[in-house]
Amino acid sequence: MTARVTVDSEVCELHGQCVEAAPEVFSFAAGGQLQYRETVGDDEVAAVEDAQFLCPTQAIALSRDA
Amino acid sequence: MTAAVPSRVVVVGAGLAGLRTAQGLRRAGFDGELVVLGEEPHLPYDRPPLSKQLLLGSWDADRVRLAAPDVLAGAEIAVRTGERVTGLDPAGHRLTLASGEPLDYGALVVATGATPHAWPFDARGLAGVHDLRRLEDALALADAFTAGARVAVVGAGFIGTEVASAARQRGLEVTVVDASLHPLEAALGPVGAGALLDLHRSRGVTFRLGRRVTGLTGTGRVEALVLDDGSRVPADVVIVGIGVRPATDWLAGHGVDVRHGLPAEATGTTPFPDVWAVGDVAAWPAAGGGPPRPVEHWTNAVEQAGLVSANLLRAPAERRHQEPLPYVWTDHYGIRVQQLGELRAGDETTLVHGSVAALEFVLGYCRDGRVTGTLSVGLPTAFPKLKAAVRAGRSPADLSALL
Ligand SMILES: Cc1cc2nc3c(=O)[nH]c(=O)nc-3n(C[C@H](O)[C@H](O)[C@H](O)COP(=O)(O)OP(=O)(O)OC[C@H]3O[C@@H](n4cnc5c(N)ncnc54)[C@H](O)[C@@H]3O)c2cc1C
Ligand code: SF4
Repeated sequence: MTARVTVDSEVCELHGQCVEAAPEVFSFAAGGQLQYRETVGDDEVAAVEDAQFLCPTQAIALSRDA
Repeated sequence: MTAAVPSRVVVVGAGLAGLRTAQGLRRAGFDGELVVLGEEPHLPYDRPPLSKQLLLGSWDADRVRLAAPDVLAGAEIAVRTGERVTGLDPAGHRLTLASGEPLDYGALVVATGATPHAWPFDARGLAGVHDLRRLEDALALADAFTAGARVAVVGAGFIGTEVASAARQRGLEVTVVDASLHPLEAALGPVGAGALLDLHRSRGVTFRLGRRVTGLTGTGRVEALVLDDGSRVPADVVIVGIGVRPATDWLAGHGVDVRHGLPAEATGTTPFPDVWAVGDVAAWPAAGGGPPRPVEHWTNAVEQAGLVSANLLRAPAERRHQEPLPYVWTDHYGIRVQQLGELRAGDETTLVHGSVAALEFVLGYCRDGRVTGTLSVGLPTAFPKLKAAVRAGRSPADLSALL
């Protein structure tokens, strides 16, 4: 089972809480943009949920029926 | 061993900390009854945008919502809005609501947040004077920001200066009054506070520092602030941002001093059996020692909620705690200011990266050669690296090399 991650780039304000909570999934590129992996494994869902809780702009969506 | 899991958890306070605790309990597998009581007429909403996007007019009011009704219903979290809790019977595990109705709990989470301090002057019922804590406050203030309005801000803290920033960005005349000659300095140090005040000055904010507000003039509506040197600051809109006190009135009278927040251990438990405390109301042990007190920042509320929702379902011996590392961000004219850790008396501040004049820099708060906190300006994406470095107790030179 996998899940799908999306970040609304219109909403994201580069707070970096997701990079801290789920570094395997989210990172900042050298130019400062947020990059992330769209498909995550079951074992990574909890970290992405932590990132969702900690994201101050509620920019992260996670859907499990992917 | 698992703990005796309560059949009903009641959360008092339907703000960020209360909601995240309830959601965390469901994530952790709690399948009992979950009730969240909130005094406000709204489902849980977010406060940081109240002094930012809502005042700038870049967000509609409904974007501040923290969870859609169907998300709450799906998680079987019963949020009861408009319900104020007036009393606690710790031995009887019972709450009293303003309606007089009693409500029993197996476990209770106190998440009532904080309330603005009483105004230090008599507003004599004049219109045009505002607090900024609730959604209604922000909407009223946004409405009052009409073309040509003169804005006076009382208190040069984070909220006061954010309001000043929003008002200037909307082209309004802004004066900020603060009783201290060096506002923000205790929190940010002289370099950080100086940079922030200079930024505001360069954008046209007038500061009246070392001055107290003694009264207001006007009939029906406010016309000016009167300062302690007798001078006046003409104003059509006044915002008071002088800090908050924990909302603990309803917890008084049980032999626990709650004036500086509901005291909690580093696991989130309180002196009352089966009662936990999270967010702005909760006085957890302070980072690096010092008396317990609330950390009135967004991320702290979410982190405590995460920890308490897990601990509440654990046996006492299995409860965890985390070493606090306070974090706060604040936005001014589109420039992000972020503080990790806290500046303590005796800390040295060192520029580890960038240029203060260019408003792109990182200051390290140093103690015994290690960086225990940072202030960063205009460099949002440095945050994850800085946090890891501070957690690891790196030196200022290490931080410079990292950035
Ligand atoms: C304008 C503004 C801007 C901010 N900006 C930032 C920022 O940029 N960065 C940052 O880190 N932090 C910021 N903060 C701080 C952050 O919003 C708070 O730390 C956070 O809201 C704390 O959440 P909480 O749930 O503990 O308290 P609250 O959000 O205050 O929620 C508590 C809730 O409990 C309710 N309540 C109180 N008493 C009772 C009762 N007896 N019965 C029932 N309900 C009750 C209250 O009505 C309230 O809805 C800002 C705060 C404000 C006001
Ligand atoms: S935490 Fe949220 S706002 Fe911050 S970078 Fe991640 S998605 Fe963007």
